[in-house]
Amino acid sequence: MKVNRIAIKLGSTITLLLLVVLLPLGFVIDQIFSGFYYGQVQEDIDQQSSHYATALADPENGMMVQMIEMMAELSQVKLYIVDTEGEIIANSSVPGLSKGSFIPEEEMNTLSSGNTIKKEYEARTMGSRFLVSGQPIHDGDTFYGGVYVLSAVDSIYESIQKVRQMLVLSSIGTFFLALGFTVVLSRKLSKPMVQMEQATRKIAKGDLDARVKVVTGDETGSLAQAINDLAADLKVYRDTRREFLANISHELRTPMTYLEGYTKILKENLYQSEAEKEQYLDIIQQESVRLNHLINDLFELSKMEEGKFSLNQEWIDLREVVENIHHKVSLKAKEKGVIFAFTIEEDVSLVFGDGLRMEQIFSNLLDNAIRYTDQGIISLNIKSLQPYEILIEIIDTGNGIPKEDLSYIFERFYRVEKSRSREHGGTGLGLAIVKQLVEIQGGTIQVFSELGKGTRFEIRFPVTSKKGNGGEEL
Amino acid sequence: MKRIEWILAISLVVIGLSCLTMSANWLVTPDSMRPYLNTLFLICFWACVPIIVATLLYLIFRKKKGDS
Repeated sequence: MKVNRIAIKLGSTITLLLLVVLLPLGFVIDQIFSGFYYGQVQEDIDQQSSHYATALADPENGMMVQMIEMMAELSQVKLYIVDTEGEIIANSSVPGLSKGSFIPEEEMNTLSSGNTIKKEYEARTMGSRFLVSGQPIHDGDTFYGGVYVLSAVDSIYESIQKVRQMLVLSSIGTFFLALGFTVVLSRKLSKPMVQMEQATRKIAKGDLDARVKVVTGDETGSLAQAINDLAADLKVYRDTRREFLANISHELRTPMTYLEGYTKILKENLYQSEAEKEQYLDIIQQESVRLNHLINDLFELSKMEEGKFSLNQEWIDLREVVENIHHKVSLKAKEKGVIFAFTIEEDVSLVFGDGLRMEQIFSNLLDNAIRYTDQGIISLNIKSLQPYEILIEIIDTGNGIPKEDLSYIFERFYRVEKSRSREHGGTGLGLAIVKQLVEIQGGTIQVFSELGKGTRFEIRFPVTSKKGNGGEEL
Repeated sequence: MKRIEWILAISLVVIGLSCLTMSANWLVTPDSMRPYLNTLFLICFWACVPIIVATLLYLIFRKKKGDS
């Protein structure tokens, strides 16, 4: 059996705690009981000696000493009586003391001054010990001596010893009772921890479907939930990584196949004419450019995801950003036969961001819009929503995105129409880059689309320290 | 919990209760099992009192939490 287990540690701690409480408690109970019992016996012999002293204080009855001695003998009460000189004049079964012997002088002084004596007496010849109560015998101011009543300590010890044995037995009973409950309790309390340990070991070994059962709503339940969340996140991360590797190898293989094929044709002079050769060279160039774009996009995206992407942030006017890209976008739109229009509200504030990256966001989204719109209009609207928020809308009347694809379109290499991806062009990383660029500049991006009607991208940037167009800080 | 652990726990509880009952019946010289069983019942009752109180407090706490 493995000893280094949480259930054993927990059980041992509870047992130790129980012993820490039980042993001092047992000692205190023993002390209380012994004290009480001794007190009771002392009180009894005090009362008896007091009664005898009262009876002996009658000077007219000269036979009282002999009578009391006889009665004590009959009732097996141990006592002795001393006269005014301290000489023992009566003795009822007290071992080690004989008639005619004297008690110590200091005891006599105590008795003659009217005080009682409480002491322990040991009869050396028999080895017996007694509790003693001595009372002075006096009638008014006249002192006649003293009477001592004794009670055997051995019988008291015997009684206390029996009680002590029962206390020990009940303590053992309590200990076993608590131990039984501790076994169950420690197992039950440690069970969630053990389950979590087993689940995390499974997760660490790669079984990311392993889950912990969340039973309670306390910190243990929260920890179990956190482990489940971690496993789910790891599963998403693993799946994404696998998918990414599959996508990247596919995306790289396609242009490489073109390059390999067409260079082979050119090398082996398999073309018919110079025009055909030029056509092949164009294809090689296009695929090289595409490959270059893909590698650049991947490099940028990985830098962004690792947080190593540096921005040159400053207060920028979005109107200038749009004007910079307007010509290029308009040209592309015209080639495709669609209209490009933009509106910017007058009171739009400056945005704290990187101008070039902002251009990249607009270019990527507008390029996408043109790519997937065959007819109609593509519009870019910028307006102030609240005093400290700017809304940028890019709306097209294109093909639209199916509802089930909407939540995945910002993922790397995700394409709605996988079969026509080469026809449309692009690296499949544009929207992933846009999302990263928006988020690292403190903004949010959302997409709304209706199949066959068009798509609307909404970007919101907060304006934390707002500046007006004139550069005046508000 | 394994079966052996349940047996161990129940045995410990039974031994504990027996020890307590025997020590409580020290001064009594029973001529039948009745006083012994009576003491055993009372010991079990006192052992259950904290559990019953704790359960009641927990139920009251849950009810109040549910109401709020």
